[in-house]
Amino acid sequence: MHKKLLLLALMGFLCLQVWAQERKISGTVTDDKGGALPGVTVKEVGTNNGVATTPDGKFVLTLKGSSDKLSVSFVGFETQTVLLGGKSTFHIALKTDAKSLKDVVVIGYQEVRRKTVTAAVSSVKGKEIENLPSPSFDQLLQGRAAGLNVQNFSGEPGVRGSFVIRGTTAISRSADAARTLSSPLFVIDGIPISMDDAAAFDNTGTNYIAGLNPNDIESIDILKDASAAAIYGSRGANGVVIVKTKRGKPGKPQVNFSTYGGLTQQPKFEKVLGGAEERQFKLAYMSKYMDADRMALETPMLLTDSLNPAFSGATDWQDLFYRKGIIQNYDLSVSGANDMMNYRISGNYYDEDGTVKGTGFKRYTVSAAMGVKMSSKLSVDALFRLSRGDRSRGRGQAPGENVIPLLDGQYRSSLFNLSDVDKRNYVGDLSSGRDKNINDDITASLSLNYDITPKLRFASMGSIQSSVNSRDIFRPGELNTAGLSYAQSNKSRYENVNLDNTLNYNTNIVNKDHHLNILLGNTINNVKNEYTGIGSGSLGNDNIKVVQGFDVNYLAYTDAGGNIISGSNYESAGMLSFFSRINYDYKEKYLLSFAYRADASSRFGRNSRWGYFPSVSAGWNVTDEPFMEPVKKWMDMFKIRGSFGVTGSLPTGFYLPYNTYSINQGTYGGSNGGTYNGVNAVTPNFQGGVAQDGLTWQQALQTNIGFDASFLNGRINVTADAFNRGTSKMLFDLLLPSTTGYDKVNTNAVDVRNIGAEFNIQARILPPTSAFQWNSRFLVSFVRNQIVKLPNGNRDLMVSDNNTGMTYILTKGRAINEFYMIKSNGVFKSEKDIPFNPYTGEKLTYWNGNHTVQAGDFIWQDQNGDYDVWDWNDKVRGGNPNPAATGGFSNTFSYKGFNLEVYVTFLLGRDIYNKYMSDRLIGLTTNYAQIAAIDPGSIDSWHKDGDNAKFAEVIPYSRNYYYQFLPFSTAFVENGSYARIKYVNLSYTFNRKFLDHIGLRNLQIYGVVDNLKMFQKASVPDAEAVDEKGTYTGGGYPIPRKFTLGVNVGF
Amino acid sequence: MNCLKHIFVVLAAGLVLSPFTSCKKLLDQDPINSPYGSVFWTNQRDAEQGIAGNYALLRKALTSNTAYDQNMSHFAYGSLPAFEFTDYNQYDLGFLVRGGDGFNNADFLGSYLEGYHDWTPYYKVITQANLVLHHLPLIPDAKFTDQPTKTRNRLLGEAYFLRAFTYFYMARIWGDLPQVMTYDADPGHSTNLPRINEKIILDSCVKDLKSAISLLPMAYTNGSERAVRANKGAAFGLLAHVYMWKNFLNKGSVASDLTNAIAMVDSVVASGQYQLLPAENYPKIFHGKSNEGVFEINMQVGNGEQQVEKGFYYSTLKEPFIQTKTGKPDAPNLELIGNLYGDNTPDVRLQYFFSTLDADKPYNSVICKFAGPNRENIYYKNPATFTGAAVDANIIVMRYADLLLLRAEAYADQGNMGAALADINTVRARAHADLLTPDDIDDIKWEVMRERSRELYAEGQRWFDLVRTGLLTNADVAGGSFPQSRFDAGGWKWPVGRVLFLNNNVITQNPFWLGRVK
Repeated sequence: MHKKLLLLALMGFLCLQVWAQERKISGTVTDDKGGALPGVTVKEVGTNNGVATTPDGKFVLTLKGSSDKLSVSFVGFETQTVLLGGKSTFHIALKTDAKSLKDVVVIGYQEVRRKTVTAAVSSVKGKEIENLPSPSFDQLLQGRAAGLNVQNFSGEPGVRGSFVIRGTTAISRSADAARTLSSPLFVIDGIPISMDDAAAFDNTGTNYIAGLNPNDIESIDILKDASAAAIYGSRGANGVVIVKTKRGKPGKPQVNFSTYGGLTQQPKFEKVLGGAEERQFKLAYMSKYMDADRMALETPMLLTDSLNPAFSGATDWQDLFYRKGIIQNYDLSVSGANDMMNYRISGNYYDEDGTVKGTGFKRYTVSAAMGVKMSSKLSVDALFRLSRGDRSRGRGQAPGENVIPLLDGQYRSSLFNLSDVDKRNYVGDLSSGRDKNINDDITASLSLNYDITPKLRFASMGSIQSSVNSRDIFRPGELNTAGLSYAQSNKSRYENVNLDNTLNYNTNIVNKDHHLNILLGNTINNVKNEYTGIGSGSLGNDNIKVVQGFDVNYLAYTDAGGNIISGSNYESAGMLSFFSRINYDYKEKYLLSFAYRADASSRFGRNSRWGYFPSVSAGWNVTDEPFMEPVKKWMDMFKIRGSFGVTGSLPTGFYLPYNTYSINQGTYGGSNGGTYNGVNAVTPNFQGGVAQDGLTWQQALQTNIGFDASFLNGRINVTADAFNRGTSKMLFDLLLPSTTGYDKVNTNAVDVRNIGAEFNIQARILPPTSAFQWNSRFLVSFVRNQIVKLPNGNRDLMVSDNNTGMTYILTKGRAINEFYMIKSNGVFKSEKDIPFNPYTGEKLTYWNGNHTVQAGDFIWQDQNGDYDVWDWNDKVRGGNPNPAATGGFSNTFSYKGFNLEVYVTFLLGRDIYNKYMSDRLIGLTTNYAQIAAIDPGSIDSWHKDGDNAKFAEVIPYSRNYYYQFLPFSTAFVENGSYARIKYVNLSYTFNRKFLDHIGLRNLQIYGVVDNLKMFQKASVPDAEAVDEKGTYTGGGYPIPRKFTLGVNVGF
Repeated sequence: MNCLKHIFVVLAAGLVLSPFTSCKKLLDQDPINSPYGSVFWTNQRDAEQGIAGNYALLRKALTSNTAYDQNMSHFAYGSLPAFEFTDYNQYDLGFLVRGGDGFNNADFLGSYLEGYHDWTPYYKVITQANLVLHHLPLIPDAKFTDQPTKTRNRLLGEAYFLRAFTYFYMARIWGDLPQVMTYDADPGHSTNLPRINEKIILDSCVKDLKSAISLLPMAYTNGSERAVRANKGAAFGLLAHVYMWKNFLNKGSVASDLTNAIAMVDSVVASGQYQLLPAENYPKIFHGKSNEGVFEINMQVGNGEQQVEKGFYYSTLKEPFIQTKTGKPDAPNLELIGNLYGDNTPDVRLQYFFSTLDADKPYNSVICKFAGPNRENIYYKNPATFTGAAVDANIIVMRYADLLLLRAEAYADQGNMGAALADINTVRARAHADLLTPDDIDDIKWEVMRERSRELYAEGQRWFDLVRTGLLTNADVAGGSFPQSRFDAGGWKWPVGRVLFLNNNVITQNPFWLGRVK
């Protein structure tokens, strides 16, 4: 390099000798705030003669040509041409490039200016979610983007919540499907990731994207309509989330350090009685309802046998499980950029203790991003990210198992005396046991950009993402009566290889007014999931904590969910895609865009694997019209947009067209030998469903109409969208006649429609001149979800969840997964209110005549008029767990260095089922001795004639129990709407003068309160902590309140 | 810098170009974690595994479950309602023994018995047999490792046998059935099938069994396959049973049913492959694969295929047969046992089949024939702790004594008392029981039934014997009362499961249960 320059200089020198007079100029280059810019190219126009500025922004140049002009250029800034005149010293201040000034939107393989976007895109800047105490960015997006519904229904760190764009489309015959709600495609730094694929082989149950440090994120763009998402074609039907991580910024190298630490609050304890007090209370309560004979015969030993050491405890279960947690986060990054290259290296450590002992999540990440400009035409960009997630799961061992050992959803009686081993086993820190859950992710990508001509750019990006999940379990023999220890080791690997090639052509046709941009591209993607694992019991030595020397008789073949434990697996699926997009605009006033994508996936049969996804969109910047001049005083911008297009979604199964056979089918009731008379028994996979060769892509047809408006010099911004998305050909399991041998066939059979509207209003309430600033943003999305077509002539389908006992109904014209229940209208106050059959004179009965209704029973509605309530004919739709509206409301107040943000998220119009209460009533009725001593008197239940109560009579060990509290009546359906003050964030940024004084670039201190206050109608402790189908079980992990304090330092 | 640049360029070029060469590989990815249609059924090993799968499906069907566990459907159908017990102390299965709402026994509508109304597991056996019958002829000779024609014929014969067995088994439970006799290449579009007459079902069983007889070998080349894989003898035996059931359905109007049944048992006898083992070898018969076994379902420990702490044999045993197991749900019908075997009898079956019979403690009375009176067939995975217990015994579906007594029944139906007695006495002689003379007999049909009851106690046969002979309603013989009206209305048949009507609108309920099934 130096040699070349020398040569150049020498040649120049020679030339000058002959042709021109020599002239030396000098100067400094700064940014618009006066900061010196190093590495800026200062070039004499029309020649190759140029220099770069020194680290303090200075340059000296000897002129050789005759143009009398300098060109000053630098990445991220507008190139400036300076007239030399006669001057010899210059001060040049570069203006930040408006295009790089972030008013761009990423729409997939391209960035476009917000003004020319014709699609519905919600954007969240990295700044908004910085330094908030959360393990993953998806949780932080709650209420921050219109059209996005995020519900963090578990407080367990590192666990995935729900993340749905424009309403769910997921519909399934079984309620135990891995994910109940549809999830979008994530594209992180250009790498597409399907969460369903990534989760398919997951051992550890950790949220896959928790490996990405939220503080590394530059921006998040959420593509909602078909026009935006169509470029991701077959995977865009449920929306696309594009995440860009931070890159080095031009200027001096920057070192940033930020840290926060704090506490997660212990959940509020419920009041229960303990020890002898419990025994007395319970016995006294029972004796009110049971005569002496029954008391003598039926009182459980737990209450009567106070001398039994096993039953003489005073265990405080809540204290045993809950704790205060510590949360801490450290980020360090070094970044910089000059004309030739940019780089950013960052490291992060995050550690959050769960509020249940033995749970928590730790993350370590290192990432490096570098861009190098090889020549004026060629540049290369490289990204490398390593992360490790380490999740402690407490005793959440089996799928669906609670981290807390509850009985009927309640804490257990304090009278159970726990051994130390039991206690440690329950809380997951038994020193001799282990349950290690490690997620190691490696992401590497390399992209190359080549400008074939100034108008035509070729770009190619290759990436590989490899995640290794490992789980290692050991349960010592001391926990097992037979002394059997258990060890398990599973490793699974998810590999996502992706290659994109794009050609981008940008031109003005005819003249400067007509802009045309053409994008052509192709993508090759392959996803691979591999698994290796073994689990076995052993009567060996407890010091062996791995699977060694095991007894083959105790080999664990599968877990409770039927997933392999001992064995290995391999699945792979490839996709080949071609896509194009044409954007045309006239004076940026009339906008038109077409996108088209064709995808072929190996997941489909050879004749139906291609899917085609076209879209069209248009926009009109109305304010650019001459007739709008009069309103321009107060209206800066008004754009109307509309789009229509088709997107698709990939099935989760990898080998749908294959009629697979299952080996080891010799197993039968009580036996796990896979053979018949020693020969491996092979049969078709009768349970998994028969393959259909003609299966094809699920399709979503979406129409979107919206506008963007800006008023009063940008002080008020409004974006509104309305959409109608019809998803058809959804894969669904049809039951087959039993005579086929097969249980079901997976076929394209269901249509679902989501209709909705979204509003995003931002206002800077005080004039820009005011020292005190108040910025407010309100966003809300409404979605209505409707089933349009069901198989078998639209016959209703009932879906049961075996974990919760809930039944849901799928009906044409109604929302997905509505509760299917008996309608309950309160409680019979007294005998005279009970209806009787006018023909027989018999009183109303429940449960096929097994229970004759009496005062204090629920008033169940007899839908079919047969004077008995129980059967399917008496069930009706009892509630809709899909929210009607979700959104967020944020207010930021700033004064000088102080900044206060109050951030509220809300959800409206959904029904939830309070299984916590119904379980409690079952517990009080049938299991009173064993559950914690709750005062039954504290419950609004019927006690005596004339009581106007909410719940039916509750009597311990009542002979009147007829399953009245099981989850099938609307008596426990509640309004699930809520609003939560999610964050209050107060920060102080020190001013520049002070910083210069102490030699820092940036210094900020802040404090955050997460989950400050909840407003809700429902009587459950937390209306957000319900599962994806709206059931509050109480066994879930409470959503904790967090307090953190932090500091940001920039050098 | 230059060097770095070159590396980048080469890397980038490599990234761009390499995947283009493997496009076909990208889109044609076949599963390697399971066999699938187009790669399975290609050689002899696949065929052997497919037929093993077929037997395994049958075993699954015969050990299917209710809500309260125990995996013993074969005995729940064949023994529990047959008065061989006075109680079965389990919420669901108890309905079969002691009845329930409106029934004094055999309350097929008892709570949680719905699983036994469902014939789905049996149609999986049939689908697999149809698969075998379709695919095996397509496997070329070269893909067989030994004797292509013979091996293929043997496997095809087994598939015919299994299909016939399954239809016959279902027909005895539900009567009329939907019939699928061909391979369906596209089950995803199959249509609903109506039930067709049980006699037509039996006719096709006869046809299948005749095919099986022509294809199957008589002798076992591999001793370990004895009785647990079908041979010609098993097909003869099953055909005899089918003819006897036809005779029942035809109400004795077709004389050839009986002669055919007799001829089939004659063929079994003439084969010389079978014998009655000496009485002291009773435990070996139930262990299985003995020279007396004609068709059995393999559940032996030797193959790791035993039911661990599950199944009919295990649940009806207790200490001292199974250490540390203190209770059992069943109470054998002690009155019937007394009636059948008599007091102070030389019949050794009383000792080989029963233990601690005590009319005061019916739940302590044990049927020990499967375990062996000296626990010959008891196995523990961990002998030290007596855990992982299993009864190392097969389900004996047909055995030589059973077929001899079936022939006796046919002779009796023909009115040929002498021939019937000869067969009865062959079986009695083995048990050291007194031989019967015509003077001892009131009704030879009753006596055949009684002898079958004695020899086959709790083997899952008695319900069908009682139905077939019509003696179900004869309290003196049956050992309990079953209303004639229910029998005449077809109430011996099980109801068709509600779940089967959900997506099949052309099937109908058995008339007796109309209005009874909710």
